[in-house]
Amino acid sequence: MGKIAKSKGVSYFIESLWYNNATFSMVLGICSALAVTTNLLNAMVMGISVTVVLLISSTVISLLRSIIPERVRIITFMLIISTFVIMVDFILKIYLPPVSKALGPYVGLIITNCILMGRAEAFAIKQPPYYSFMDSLGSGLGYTLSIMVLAAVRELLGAGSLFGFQVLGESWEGWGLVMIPSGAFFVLGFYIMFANMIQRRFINRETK
Amino acid sequence: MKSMKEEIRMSIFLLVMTTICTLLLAWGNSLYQKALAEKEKELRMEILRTFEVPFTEDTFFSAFNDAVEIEKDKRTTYYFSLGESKQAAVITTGSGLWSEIEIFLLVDIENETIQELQVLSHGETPGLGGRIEEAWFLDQFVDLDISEGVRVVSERADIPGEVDAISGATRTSDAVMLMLNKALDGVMSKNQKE
Repeated sequence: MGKIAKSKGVSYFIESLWYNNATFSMVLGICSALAVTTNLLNAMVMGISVTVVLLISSTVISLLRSIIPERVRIITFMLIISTFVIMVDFILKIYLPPVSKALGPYVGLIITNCILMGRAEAFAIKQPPYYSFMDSLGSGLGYTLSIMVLAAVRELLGAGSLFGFQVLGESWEGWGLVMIPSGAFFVLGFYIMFANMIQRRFINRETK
Repeated sequence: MKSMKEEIRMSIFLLVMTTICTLLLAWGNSLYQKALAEKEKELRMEILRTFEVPFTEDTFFSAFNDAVEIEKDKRTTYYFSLGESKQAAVITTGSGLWSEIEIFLLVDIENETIQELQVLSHGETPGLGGRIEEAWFLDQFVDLDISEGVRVVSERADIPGEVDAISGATRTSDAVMLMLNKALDGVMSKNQKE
């Protein structure tokens, strides 16, 4: 593909970060991407939580891949993922109670986030830990960056601020539409469109 | 025979996995409970300080038990001061437009005024309902006369207990008003019972 020879781990990382980006290529994890993106801080904490759980669970699943019986693999994924999600939930409740309250049920709902199950079933169960780790890192960061872009657009247009700091000045009244859930669909739609346009251009250039 | 072996292997595997996960969660939960207890203690120290009760780290428990009486409702915790100045601190939650709002309220029962209002947590729309945490909104409540309840209004009519609502966030303003009045009713009725 590229001119520089990439190691396999790095290429898995790029693959899941960009070409198979969870949000704009595979359109996974959309429920949370719509719900937690009203401000940047919430989106960042959510993204980091998903990434951490994804990294740990994928690595653990990958380490156990030879002893997980095939017939009960899904329930094993659920067990591992939910254990770590609940742990992350405890940590957020202790150290970031306001964010945890604002995220509400969406931290717990990471358990059913398609990205985690998807990476476990499609990748971690077949690949060694190092590759699984890199793949999860790519997916997690891809998701985090995606929802942070969404949150930045929504917070900037809706409240005129970024991370709670006013940047558009007092005269900005706030565009209420992007703050409500239906506005989130518009922002997400445009985001997927632009991201795919850019991505296609990349792919065309590389094949030429 | 072979499938029998497989079944047993599977069962053992699941049993072991579940046990490990349960133990992990139990350990996490114990740490969480400890942290919660620590937080509650800090909160109680803060309340003692606002009631101006002197205490040290060692005398904290007895000082708190002597000076404060706790009453609990479904969504509200009342801390009544037993000292000379009749005060009550209230922590209550209520539903806003999108989210649970949690507020801290300090009431002077004798003079029927609010001394302090803080928003502890909320998930309202930033820039609209989210402005309930801003100082200009909260400062309106300091020394507010509550003899006739609190009204969050868009146009003042010179009745005691009025504060300005947030424009564009009527539902959140109303939610705060509802929570405040509920909490104040609770304080007054519980106070009379004693």
